[in-house]
Amino acid sequence: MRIPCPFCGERDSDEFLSIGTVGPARPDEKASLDAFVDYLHFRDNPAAETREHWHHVHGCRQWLVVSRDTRSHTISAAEPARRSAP
Amino acid sequence: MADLVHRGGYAGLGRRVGSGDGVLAVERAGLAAATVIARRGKAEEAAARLGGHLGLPVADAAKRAASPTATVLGTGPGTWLVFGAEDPGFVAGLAAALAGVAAVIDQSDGQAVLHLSGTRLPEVLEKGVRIDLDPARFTPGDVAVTSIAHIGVTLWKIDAAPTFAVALPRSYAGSFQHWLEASAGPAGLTVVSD
Repeated sequence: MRIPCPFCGERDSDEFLSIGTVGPARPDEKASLDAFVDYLHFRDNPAAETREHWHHVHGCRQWLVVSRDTRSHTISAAEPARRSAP
Repeated sequence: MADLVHRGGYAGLGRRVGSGDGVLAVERAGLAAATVIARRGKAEEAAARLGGHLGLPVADAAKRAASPTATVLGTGPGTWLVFGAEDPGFVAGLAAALAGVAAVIDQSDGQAVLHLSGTRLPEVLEKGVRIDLDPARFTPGDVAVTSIAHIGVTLWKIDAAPTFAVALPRSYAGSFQHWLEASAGPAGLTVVSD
C-alpha cells in the first residue's frame, strides 16, 4: 500500500504508523464511565471508506488524515492533520 | 580544560571493498549542523529569514538550497536541516536570525554526512532506497527523508552525475557503512573519511 504524503510524495506504508480512525470526540469530563470506556476501547470496523490518522514517522514526521477504503485499500486522499494556524 | 576535536562519524572506517571503483563515498566531516523548526503559522517567515540570513532561496518544500558555505534541506513542513562550515558561530547566527519564528537546535555532533558518486551508484541505491530515484523523477535539488536498511536518512541529489549525499544520526554511521559495503561490494566501493 502506498500513501501520497502531501510533503514527501508517494511513499510505502512501511514508513508510516497507523493510529486508527479519526474521532470520536473525547467525551465531556463529567460524562459517565461507560462513555469513556466506549470512547477509549470501542471502534467501528466498517466495510467502507474510512478516515484514519497516519503518522509519517520515517519521513517528514507529519500527521495525516488518510481516506482509505477498507475493502480495496484504495486511498482517495491524504491531507495534513495539523490545524490551520490561529 | 581539554580542547575537544571534531571526529567524524565515519572516521577510522575508511576502506576498499572489491575493485573499489564502482562507488566512491567521501565523508564530509567537520560540518556545523542544525535543525530549524518554524513556530506554528511561521513557516513562510522562517523560510524567508533563513534564506535572507544565508543568502539562499529557501522554500518550505523537500528541496535543497546550497552555496559553497551552507546547505539547507527541506525535511518537513516548516522544518529544515541546515549544514554550514565548522564554526562555533554558525548555529548561534542561525538562532539569532530566526529568533521568535523558529526553534534552532544544534546537531553538529549528531549528524554524519557522506557524498556518494560513481558509475555504479544508481544500482547500489536501488538496493536500499524505496523511493523512485529515476533521473526524470528525482532531480538535482530534490530532498527525501526516508529510510535505508531501517536507518532514518536524509537523502539529497547534488548533481546529475549523479552525486547524492546522505545524512544520518552519526551513531548509525557504522551500521550504514555495513549496508553500503554489502550492497556495493559487487560493484566495488571506496570509503574515504578525512
